Amino acid sequence: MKKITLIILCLFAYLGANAQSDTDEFKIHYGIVAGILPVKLSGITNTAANNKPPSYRRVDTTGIMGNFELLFGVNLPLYRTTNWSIGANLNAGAGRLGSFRAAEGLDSYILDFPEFLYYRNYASTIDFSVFAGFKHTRAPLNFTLPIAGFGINEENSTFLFYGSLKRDTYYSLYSNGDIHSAVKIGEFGIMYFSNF
Amino acid sequence: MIKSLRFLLYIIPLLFFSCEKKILEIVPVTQKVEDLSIQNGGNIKLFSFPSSQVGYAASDTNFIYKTTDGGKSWTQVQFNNSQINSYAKCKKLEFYDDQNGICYLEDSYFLKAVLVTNNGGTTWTRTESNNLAGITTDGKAYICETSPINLKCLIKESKDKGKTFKDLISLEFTEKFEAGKVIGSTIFILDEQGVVHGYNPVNSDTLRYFIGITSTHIPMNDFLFTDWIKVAVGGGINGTYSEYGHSLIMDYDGGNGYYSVDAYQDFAIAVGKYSIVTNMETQDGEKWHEVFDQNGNGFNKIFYKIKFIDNRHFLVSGEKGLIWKMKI
Repeated sequence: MKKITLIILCLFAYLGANAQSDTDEFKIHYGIVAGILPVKLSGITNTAANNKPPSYRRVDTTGIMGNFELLFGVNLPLYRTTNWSIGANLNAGAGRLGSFRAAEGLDSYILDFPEFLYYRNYASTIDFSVFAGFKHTRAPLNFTLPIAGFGINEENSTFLFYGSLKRDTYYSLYSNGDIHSAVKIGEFGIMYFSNF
Repeated sequence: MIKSLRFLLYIIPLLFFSCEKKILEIVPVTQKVEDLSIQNGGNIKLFSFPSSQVGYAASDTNFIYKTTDGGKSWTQVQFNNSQINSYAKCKKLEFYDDQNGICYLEDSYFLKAVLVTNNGGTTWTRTESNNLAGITTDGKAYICETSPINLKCLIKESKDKGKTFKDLISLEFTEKFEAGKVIGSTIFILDEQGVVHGYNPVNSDTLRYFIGITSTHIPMNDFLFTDWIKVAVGGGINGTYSEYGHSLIMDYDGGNGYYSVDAYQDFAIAVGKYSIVTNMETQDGEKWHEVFDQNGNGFNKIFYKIKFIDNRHFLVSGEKGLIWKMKI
């Protein structure tokens, strides 16, 4: 964790040193997304050893997944002043979702749609953005996450750090009407955009 | 800038809004609503509840149990019949009402005895020495008289709650008699090869279904053939009916043995070793599914018999005197 924090701080220092004031303009960009997805799985599993009669128990498992994808998008300023702007960032990407631990059943190719509104300040020392929106992932198990984060802008590229504000949940409906959480997915990660 | 930040703050709460919960799966669960168990009652393989208060149950013994208070307490009922030895065990137990019923007994040798009571089990009279197939709700009973010379089953009918029997029809088998059952007004006879022969005395229809496999003898413990559903249980669940050969194909192998199946219309439940399964629709493409308790755990009991009470409730019996009223 300390290493990750150190890398992020170094990245900030680098980007901050190279950041240049800019005005926010309509741009088409391409980029990559890399994320970590903590997954909580709750399900009924046969816990019996081999050659023993089945013994079903409700078991909670914490899994970790990762995604990596390529995307294209547009940066769409909606309102601009000399110092700041607000706008929309609309993207569509495709990639792979894979399990690092205990969530192999969710491995798949994915389509991803990170869409958000941002506030960008290009008058300060560091040209930065804060944003909030949603990230919709099309997979065998679709999920939509409200996300928020911040970013550092350079003349032709942008680094964004994002995290989900709330986990998306799928439920098991018991035949007696009770509802139990079955799959909970959250996500945090980075996006890198480079303008055409 | 303040205005734009305020705009963003207004937008963010909308992102949390979700119309309805996303359902990944439907899980069949059941819960015990009443425990009618018999203390030190052994393996309860048979039961019959002619009314909500009066019930009879039998385990691997030469006596049965009776309750007159809806299962709160049970007393032993002896047959007190000089023709019945101490090795005889009740293999079928059926009651028309609180007073009139039949118990079919066998021992490990040659004894086959149909005992009839008309006073709630106080006295029992032996009326036949053949396999009891079953009874109907309108006071009939059917037995199968097998011949040691040929493989015929002479079905005899009683119209007076088992007191007297008359010849009805002779069915020819290719294998020995295994079990009999009456469903609705149709008599079904299962042979050792897994072939079920049926006869409906109301419309004289004869039926033939194959529920086992020919190469190896796999006993099917129970079966159900109605207009709603055709299913047989044994090593697994044979619940897919094939018109070709009029056979039932195994479509669930839960790894356990199953002893009994019952259905309310097309909604079926089968019970067996550490398992209750149902054909409830769960939208996962499978036909049969494990049933769990309300906490999502399986059952660690051996269940022997299931009987529906209505579309949501059923009675199940099992090891160590277990009799539960369940809700699903």
